Amino acid sequence: MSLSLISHTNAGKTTLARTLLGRDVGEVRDAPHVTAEATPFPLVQTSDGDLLTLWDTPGFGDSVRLARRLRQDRNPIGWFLTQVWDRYQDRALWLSQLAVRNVAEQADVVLYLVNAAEAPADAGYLAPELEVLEWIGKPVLVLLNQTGPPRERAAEEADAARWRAALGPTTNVRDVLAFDAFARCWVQEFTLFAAIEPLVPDASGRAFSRLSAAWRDLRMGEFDASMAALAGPIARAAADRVTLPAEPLTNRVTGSFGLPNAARTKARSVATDEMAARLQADLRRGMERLIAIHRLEGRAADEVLERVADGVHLDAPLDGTRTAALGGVVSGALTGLGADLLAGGLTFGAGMVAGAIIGALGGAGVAQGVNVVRGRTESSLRWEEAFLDGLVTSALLRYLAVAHYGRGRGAWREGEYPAHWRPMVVDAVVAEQDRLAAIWAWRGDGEERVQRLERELEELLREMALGLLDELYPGALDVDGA
Amino acid sequence: MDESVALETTAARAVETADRDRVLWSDADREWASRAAAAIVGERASAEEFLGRRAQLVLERVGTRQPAVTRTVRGIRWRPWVGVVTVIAAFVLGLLIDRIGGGSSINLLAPPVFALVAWNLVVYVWLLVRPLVLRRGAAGPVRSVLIRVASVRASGDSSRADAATAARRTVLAALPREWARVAAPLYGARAARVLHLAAAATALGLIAGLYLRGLAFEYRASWESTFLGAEQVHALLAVTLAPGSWLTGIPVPDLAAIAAIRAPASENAAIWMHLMAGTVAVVVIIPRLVLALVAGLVERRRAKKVALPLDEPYYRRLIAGWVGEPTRVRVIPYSYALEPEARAGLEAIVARAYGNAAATIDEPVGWGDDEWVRPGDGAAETVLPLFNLTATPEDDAQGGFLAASGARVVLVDESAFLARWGSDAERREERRAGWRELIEAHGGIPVFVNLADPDLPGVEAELADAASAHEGNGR
Repeated sequence: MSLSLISHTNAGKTTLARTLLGRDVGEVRDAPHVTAEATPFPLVQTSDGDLLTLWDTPGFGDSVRLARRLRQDRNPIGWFLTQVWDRYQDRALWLSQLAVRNVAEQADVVLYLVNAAEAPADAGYLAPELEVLEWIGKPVLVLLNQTGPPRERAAEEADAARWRAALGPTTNVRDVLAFDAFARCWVQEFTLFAAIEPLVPDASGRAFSRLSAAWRDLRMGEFDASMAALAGPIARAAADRVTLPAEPLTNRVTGSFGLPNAARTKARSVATDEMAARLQADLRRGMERLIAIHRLEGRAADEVLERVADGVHLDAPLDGTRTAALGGVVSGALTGLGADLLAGGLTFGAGMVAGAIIGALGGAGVAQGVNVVRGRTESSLRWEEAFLDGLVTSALLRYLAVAHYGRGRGAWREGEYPAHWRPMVVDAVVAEQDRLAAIWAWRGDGEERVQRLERELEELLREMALGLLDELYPGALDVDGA
Repeated sequence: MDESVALETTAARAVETADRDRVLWSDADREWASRAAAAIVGERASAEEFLGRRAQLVLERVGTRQPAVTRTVRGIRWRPWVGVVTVIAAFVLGLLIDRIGGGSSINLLAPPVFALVAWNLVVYVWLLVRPLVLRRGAAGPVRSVLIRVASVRASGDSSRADAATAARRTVLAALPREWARVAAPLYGARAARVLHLAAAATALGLIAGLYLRGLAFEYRASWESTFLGAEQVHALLAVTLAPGSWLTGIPVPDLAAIAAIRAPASENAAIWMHLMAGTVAVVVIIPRLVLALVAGLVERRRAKKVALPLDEPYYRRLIAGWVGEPTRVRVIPYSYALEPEARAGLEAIVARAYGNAAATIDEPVGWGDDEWVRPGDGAAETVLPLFNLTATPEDDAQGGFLAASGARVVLVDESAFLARWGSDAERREERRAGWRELIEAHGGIPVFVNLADPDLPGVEAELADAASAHEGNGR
């Protein structure tokens, strides 16, 4: 089975191939005619020996002339004769011929990329290229690339509709899908596979189903691993606690009158610093793991971290006692973030977490960022539940950010994630508030309880993440009944 | 237009274009200046007369409000004393150079006279070769230094203008640059004249020094060499001193005479000094004076006729307003159907940058349309090709169109690109670089605009810069 990626030059074929393969194949540059030969890449393989190959081809260059030439000379042998001449005389035309040859000889299904940032009417090369594809006669699936950062569904659909209308009644264009090489999400790949399935020649239908299932398994496996990577640090933070040094009786008495005590304040701040440092290191490890799972460049780690830097925001309508504390958490987190940015973004996390705590203390007037748990003989400090809720929100946002970060171009940067994500995630967390509270209730001594907490948290994260993905891409997850 | 009028006109342009927010110089001021100048020069006058008169009015009025502008204009003129000082200094240098072989003996093989002659010969060769190496009009390093000293001060008064507004500072900063560009050919000739005179003065100084000292001391001539025999030395001197021998009529001493003064022997150096002086006069002084004369004539001609870049939007707008005929600006989008708001933005830009221009926006040229031909331009019109940044710049498609259009300033609209990747500056820069490369390869200058939300003063300034930069290169 072979898929050929083809398009006008510089539409992003190689970028898309990189994103799908999770490897840096070919050369990527914002210029015409960067890819100069058709190259096959194994995309997925089954244990039955089926193999799906993705061909990255040179782009169509001078398509107007290519179409004209095809009209004059319908015999492909004709090209071979002129090819040597074109190779040196007219590189654009020669590369176009290579692309056409690849599609004619190799492809079962053609993936035709278009630059969705351009208006279809302005893409003057569209008509001749469709003519060439028509001439080749293979089934074509149009992918809208370069759509930009993820947007509201309505905007995406308007784009697709615009292109569908422009492509008009071409016989072999079967469907139009939005699929951005930079900001696609893996669930969209399921839609892609589902769209390809009916176009596959009957003989390979079975094989393609198997390949499609293999792909799905691969991506779902990654999803599960990601959830584990997200749940781990939060579960450990929930279980984390620091024992405060024992205090003399007099101090405890004055303390119970609410009198300030320097030694106690210091002991607490040392303890919170310790917990914050642990949490930050753990979060970073989890993040790196998440990035590795999604086969992104390690370098992207800092960038992605920056993108989720304001993940602790929690502007949710929670119950009264919590709101005050959360107001503090939010403003504190922002203060901490400011400190992070001052330090060059390298201390991400530490500053933010510490800031959240300071904010919580200041905002509520009582220590609600961390709780003091009084035992019979000693007190200990642990994370407050609202803070853990905040970690869940930020974890989900972080996940969405990574899942949409196409490998396409290593150096690609994006300022912040789309505005419509955050309210969505916050709503989801608020909706599951009770279950979260139940999970936090598993905190306490004993390895078993911690494991139980982690398991349940992982399960809940999974459900929430799937719910979010389904909201972003309705129907994509159950395209073939999974 | 003569030099001082051209300077005033350029200064007025700097005032009117650099003051983007119209703080120092309002729209009403602009209109007043045009009206008053038109009334003074009358209908028969040429466009240049009108511009010059108008510039005087602008400077008079702005000068009463901002004396720093007047000071800068005054300070930017050529300072003739620098030329005089250069020539005198060259003469003094010539006087001092010579100690001719230390004390009172002339080593015939190593006097500075020969170095001077050789250097001047090198310069003559360079003058012949220069037009091939440096492209037309570019000033060499020495000339550049001289020009800088004698005229354009880099933002001279800005430090004194302590309480200056930002507007005034930009005006003062823009003017020297503009004037340097406009006056480059004139100043090049002027610097050449001064430098030729200075070279002649140096040679003259050298000879004068030689003879002055000859009155008080006796110079003795001799020679010595590790490698050369009397025969070679004779041959060498016969060639190098031939011009002097020709001028003075004194023959170069023969082989026997030369052999006789091999060190430690020597003779009175009078003959040799005459020969050397003659040589210097023939090889250095006379040619240099001729060159200075030529440069002076060129300078006079250029000073009377400084060419202003009248193609620039700024001048076009003024002239069009005066003549009463609108400038014709024609925008040709390439494979780009403008959205209504982009069209509105484009019209606003053209209106602002070209004044009362009658802008026509053509139907888009089709992608890959290689049969497109430039519309016949009966009247002078400015052609502005327009591309969309979202498209990939391809030499086969857009490049062909650019070559056929022959346009100099090219608009690239970023609105659609920004709508998608507004936050991704790196990506935009990469795409811009691609467009810049293509457009510059076809001799154009790109101006990137966001038609959905154009920064009018910024675009106006960029269009002016692009047009004048082209003038500067093309001359």
